[in-house]
Amino acid sequence: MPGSIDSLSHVTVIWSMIAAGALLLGVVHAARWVLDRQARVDLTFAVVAISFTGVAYTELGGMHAGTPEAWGAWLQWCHLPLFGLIVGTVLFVDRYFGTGRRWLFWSIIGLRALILVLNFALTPNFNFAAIDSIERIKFLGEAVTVVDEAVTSPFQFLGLITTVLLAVYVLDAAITLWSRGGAENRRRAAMIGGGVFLFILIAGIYAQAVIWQVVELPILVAPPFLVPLLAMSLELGRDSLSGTRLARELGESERRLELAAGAAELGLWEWDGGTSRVWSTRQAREIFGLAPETAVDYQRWLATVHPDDVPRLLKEMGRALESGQDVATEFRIRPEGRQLRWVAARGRAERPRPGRATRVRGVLFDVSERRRIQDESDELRRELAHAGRVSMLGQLASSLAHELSQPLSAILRNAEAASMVLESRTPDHEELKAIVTDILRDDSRARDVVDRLRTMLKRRSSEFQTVTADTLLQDVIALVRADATSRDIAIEYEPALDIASVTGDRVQLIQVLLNLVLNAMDAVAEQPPVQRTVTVGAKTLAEGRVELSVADTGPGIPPEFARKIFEPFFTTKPSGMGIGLAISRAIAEAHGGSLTMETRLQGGTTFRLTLPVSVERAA
Amino acid sequence: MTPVVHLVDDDESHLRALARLLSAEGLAVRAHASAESLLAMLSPELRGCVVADLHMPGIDGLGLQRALRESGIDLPVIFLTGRGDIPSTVTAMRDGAVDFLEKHATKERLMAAIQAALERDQAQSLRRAESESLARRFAALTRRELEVLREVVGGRMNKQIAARLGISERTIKMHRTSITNKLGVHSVAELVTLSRQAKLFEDTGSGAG
Repeated sequence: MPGSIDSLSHVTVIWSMIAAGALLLGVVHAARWVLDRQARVDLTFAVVAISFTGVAYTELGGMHAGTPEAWGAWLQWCHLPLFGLIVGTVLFVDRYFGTGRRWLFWSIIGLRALILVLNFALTPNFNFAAIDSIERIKFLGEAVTVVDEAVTSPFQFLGLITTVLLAVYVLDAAITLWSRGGAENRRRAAMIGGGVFLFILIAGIYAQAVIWQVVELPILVAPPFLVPLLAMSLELGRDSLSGTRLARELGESERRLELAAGAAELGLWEWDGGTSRVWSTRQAREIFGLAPETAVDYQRWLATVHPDDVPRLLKEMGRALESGQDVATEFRIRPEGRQLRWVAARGRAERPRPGRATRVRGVLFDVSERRRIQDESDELRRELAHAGRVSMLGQLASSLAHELSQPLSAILRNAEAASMVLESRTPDHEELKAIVTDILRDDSRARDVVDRLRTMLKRRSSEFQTVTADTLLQDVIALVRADATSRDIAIEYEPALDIASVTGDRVQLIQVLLNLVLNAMDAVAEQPPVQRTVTVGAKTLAEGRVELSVADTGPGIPPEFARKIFEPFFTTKPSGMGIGLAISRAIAEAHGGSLTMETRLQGGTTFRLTLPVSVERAA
Repeated sequence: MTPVVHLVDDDESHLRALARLLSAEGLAVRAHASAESLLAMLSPELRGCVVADLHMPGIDGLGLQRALRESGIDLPVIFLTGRGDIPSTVTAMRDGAVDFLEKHATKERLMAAIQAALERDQAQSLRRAESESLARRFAALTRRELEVLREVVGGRMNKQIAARLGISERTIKMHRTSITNKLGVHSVAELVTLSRQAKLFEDTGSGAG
């Protein structure tokens, strides 16, 4: 029925449809915001969509107006939802892009507010100073009211400026977002930015044309705004879809993580600093020997930790919370009915906002086996080092015995002399005093020898301390002095007192140097007496290192041996074990240093022990 | 010269203690911190003994002993050592060390060794003094008198001597009187003993007496 098509009110139908559709969208997104207050973008969209409904409604009202006054009033009321539409759009862009310029943002809102105020202060409205007559024209098969004769308002330029500012604001925000790169950002910029810009282009130019009465058509804001409205709606729909997908993927990834952590025997944990609550995976509880299915509080966890390690563990957790630094620690646990285990925990403090971290989360794993192997190899190395020391001191035994017998003999002779003095009728007190002084001094001399020996012979774990190069070298010289004398070997040492200290185990470092000096003495033993010289010394190198050197005037090491001397069980000595230099190098490396050798045939050999300068001193 | 015990030890404390003890025992002591210090003040008239540490830097005990012998000084040497060192002991004893003591030896043992060394030195110096005076007396004889003495010690009669030397028996008698006067002896037996002490005519052998 073509006749009925003609009579169908297309304008009314279309405007009602888009108004109802927009209203539905607005209500849906407003409801989402109510459910999730974080979803501010949904709120701004709801404002835009509902304002759009208002715009469509007042537009339709204007088109059906019967008098110029009524038409002017509809236009006046149209400004109210229009304000919401524009401010909502500006907010949406601001929220969704996060890139808009602040001054443009506030200028637009301010100008639109001013326009709104002027709109209701002026008659008939913001756009017109006077509306003289209206006209009914045929539009989309329906008779609609348009303005015929009217005077444009002198403030109209404000509307134009706002429109331009809005266009610049949106374009600028979209370009900035685009330039950040990434498919997501670029699509958003194109969809929303393009949509809004297209609307401004169409609606802005068209509306101005109507207002300046270039064309005689109804003011149409709602239909072109369908473009950005749909774009916004699509983007939000996509976001909520991807949110659902993300949630699903998160679940998957959590299961995968748990599987991987379980396979790696890693337990996951999270320590809440505020509530002291501990969240953990099944694996974590298993390591601690706690029932896998039960939730356990932090007291229960701590009860499993070895009492000696609890204060340290709490301190480290506290420090992590305080400073927000990572925590990496190892401690012992005694799970109920099981043996003592070593557990390593690594964690990262999380601080949601600047200031104190609120929780530490991380992994924990059983390191008992690694600890055991490490302990065993440490023990082995200690034993080997000890064996090396015993064997070296064995070489020195007879000269050390001599060194010990000197003060003891002196004490004996002094005691005998004292008893002679006492036998006389008038004992010489001054003489006796001198004798006692000498006895005391010789006693301490003997004790020094014994102490040196005892220190070197004791089985012990390493103790790091700050020592000077001079102390180390003096100690070594004291040990070999007697032996060197009896073998006619000169030990030359230029005291290096201004050398920086090093950090290390004194006994082990002496062991290395003693080994080098004894080797050097063996190297020169076959030389004529005047050529038997061993020179020890120390110097500071650049980049915070100290070098201790032992040089001999021996025949040098043949090249075919030079490469092997640091290998274990390589020796050229009939009674040697061949472990001295291997141990020495291991000790040097354990101190973060190195042990190197330089030899010239007919020119002697120099060994260099390089160690890092002690941090305490350098700091 | 009074006998002096020369102590040589590089260990200052032990040196002082030992010197102190020996002084308390009433001995004249001179302490040397090195062998060089003793060798620097050597003279043939030195009397006493040397107590030296075997192990010293520079010239050690054995070196000191060698140096003494080479200078013709026969001071008895006692070695002290802190350790039982067999090769050194053997060398030292072969080279005529009087004794070889551990530093830790008892005082009695030490004093006995020093006493023995001093006695040995005294005997040596006595013997040396005697032979020196003897040598002085023999030095007074003329060449002819020595020739006559040789024949007398050889056990020959005046007649035989006169025939061998081609001079008169009367002249021989005059020489013999002069010899007994110069040497201060009264019998042929004494003359023989003295000549043997002075190690005279050893080449003429054992036929005599």
